[in-house]
Amino acid sequence: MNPHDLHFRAAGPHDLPAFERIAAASATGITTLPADSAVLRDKLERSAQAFASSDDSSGEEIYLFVVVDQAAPGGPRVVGTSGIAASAGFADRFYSYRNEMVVHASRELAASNRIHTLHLCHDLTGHTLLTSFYIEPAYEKTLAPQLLSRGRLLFIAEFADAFSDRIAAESPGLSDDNGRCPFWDAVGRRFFDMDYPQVERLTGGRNKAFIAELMPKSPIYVPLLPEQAQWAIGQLHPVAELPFSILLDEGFDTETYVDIFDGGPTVDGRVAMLKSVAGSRRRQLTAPATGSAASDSAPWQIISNTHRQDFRAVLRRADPTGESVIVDAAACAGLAAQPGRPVRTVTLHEAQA
Amino acid sequence: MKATLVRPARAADLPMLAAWLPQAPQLPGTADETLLVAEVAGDDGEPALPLGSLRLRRAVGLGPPRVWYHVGCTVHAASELNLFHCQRTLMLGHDHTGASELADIVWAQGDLPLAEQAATLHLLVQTALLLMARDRGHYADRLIAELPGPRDSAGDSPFWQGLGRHFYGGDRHSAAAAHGAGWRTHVAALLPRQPIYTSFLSEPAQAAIAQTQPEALLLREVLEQAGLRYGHHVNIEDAGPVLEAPTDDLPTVRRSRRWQVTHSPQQAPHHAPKAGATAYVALVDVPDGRWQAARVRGHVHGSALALSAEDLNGLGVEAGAPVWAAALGGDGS
Repeated sequence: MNPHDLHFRAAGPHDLPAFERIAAASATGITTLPADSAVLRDKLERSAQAFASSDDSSGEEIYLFVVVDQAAPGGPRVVGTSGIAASAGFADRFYSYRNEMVVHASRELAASNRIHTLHLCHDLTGHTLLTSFYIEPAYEKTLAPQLLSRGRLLFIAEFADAFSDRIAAESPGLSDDNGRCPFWDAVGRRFFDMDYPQVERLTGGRNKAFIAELMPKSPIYVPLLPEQAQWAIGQLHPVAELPFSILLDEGFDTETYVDIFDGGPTVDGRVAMLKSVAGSRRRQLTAPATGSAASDSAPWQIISNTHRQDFRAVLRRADPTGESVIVDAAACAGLAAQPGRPVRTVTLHEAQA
Repeated sequence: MKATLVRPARAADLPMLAAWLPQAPQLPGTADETLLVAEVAGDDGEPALPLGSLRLRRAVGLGPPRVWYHVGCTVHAASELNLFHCQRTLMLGHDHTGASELADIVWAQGDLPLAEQAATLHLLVQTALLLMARDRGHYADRLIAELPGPRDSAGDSPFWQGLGRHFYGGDRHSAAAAHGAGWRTHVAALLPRQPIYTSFLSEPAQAAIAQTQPEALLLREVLEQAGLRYGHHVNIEDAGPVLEAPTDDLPTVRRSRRWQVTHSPQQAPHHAPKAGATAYVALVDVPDGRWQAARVRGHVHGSALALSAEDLNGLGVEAGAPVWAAALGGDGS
């Protein structure tokens, strides 16, 4: 497919059918998008409000985005979603387990052991949180996931005041189709007599804090857990490999935090250090000189407009240097921006593209 | 049954004690410890037969720190989820530092009837309590005694298998042999410092917490009769219970006092003590700064404790001599 046909934009209430379809398709993975129309409608409305208000942000905002394939058979179609929560655990606490190593040593016994412990913590409370990533399987091999994941980082770069300078993202941990989750079974279940899917339903779309408050407050000594559960700590559910690899490439740290329920990795980083933020810059949208064409050897760029309410981004090959970025009229239309307007661009490197 | 005596250990006792104790015993080097030996007189000039021994410590953990687990509880409750969980926790600590201790309690078992074994243990423990009462200022306000925890059929401690083994990979028995009693201090440095939820341990390990090894149940009974109780502490190796009591609450300590002994008015060898005579444990000083103790029957006669000639003889005292003695309760305490 032609990456020119992929349009990234702010989602709105009219995207509800697409979100319902996606929530139903993604049995595993996105607890922030439960298959519940009322919840989804509410989220889309809150998202539209967040895009519309340029007032001082409260931290409660969520921003949802979609990627649309303009050339899909049967007409333009939403093929993926992504999102941002301005402030993790807003108005409450955001719980994670922090990996820590303690060295226990006895000179007399000539023994020294590195002991892995998990500490229940609120470190990530107030961090901006990347959420709601989903891409239709048919588009996994295209540039769509890149656009979906990194497009929202351009939004954060453009409207940095609305976000924390620290950012995190949760990824689903290991569980099977029957809801067996080795980490939950070894840890959470000892404190609640519930299966993991039951707990997910309880927490789906809600703040997890009220469950987290019932989790053990003292560190968990990993050597005491069953081997299967030890192995699951920081392990990714296979469905999350693609979005996770993009976050990894952005420079997120994967070693420090895990989810308190399923042990999946929670990555974190400084916004300013992320590749798509640090590497992005404001340039001027410029129409090509008559008869010229973009070189096939130019690298792919994500180009976003600078509109808060009607935020959009497209993919084009373009010269990454200079103050202006030369793109075709279709791109300008995709961005809802005329030549001469400012845009933000970031280069997709070969490894990413 | 011949009279049993308790006295301080001598060098000549050590070979016999070595057969009972995991580590070769030593005579206490200082007054901080007293090694008590119970013995029964031999037949016709045969040497006396040792029956058991007990080490009384004035204060524990003031040199190398001593460690125990405190068995606690933390409640996780949420009314909206109809959830209420009491989670048992283990917290490493030095809670009994400074307490006095009854330690290394060993006794002849063989085919001796349980009642005789219990009588020996009883006399050892009561004598230790009398010594504490007599030199009360030298002993702490709290007394403890550790009991061994259960072993599985392979001789391993299920508690160690469920917990300690994950933090010390070496062989516990050879480490204990190499370092003596201090090995627990060393291994504690490798154990978790933060509370452990026992639900993270294996079922057998959880079940072992505060359980007494079957062979030590008799000892537990004797210690409980003397007034010691499980107070939610266990040893870190096999989770055997630590029994404890405030020293001054122990009946023997409370009831003990200095008496002068006198002849029982109706003295006659082998004469059954007259009605109203009470069982006492009595301790007397003998030449060379030593002492000995025995169980006697007596009754209060004015300000004196009247004993039969046989008991006076057994204690090795003359009428008019001072003794430390405490009446034993009706239940033998």
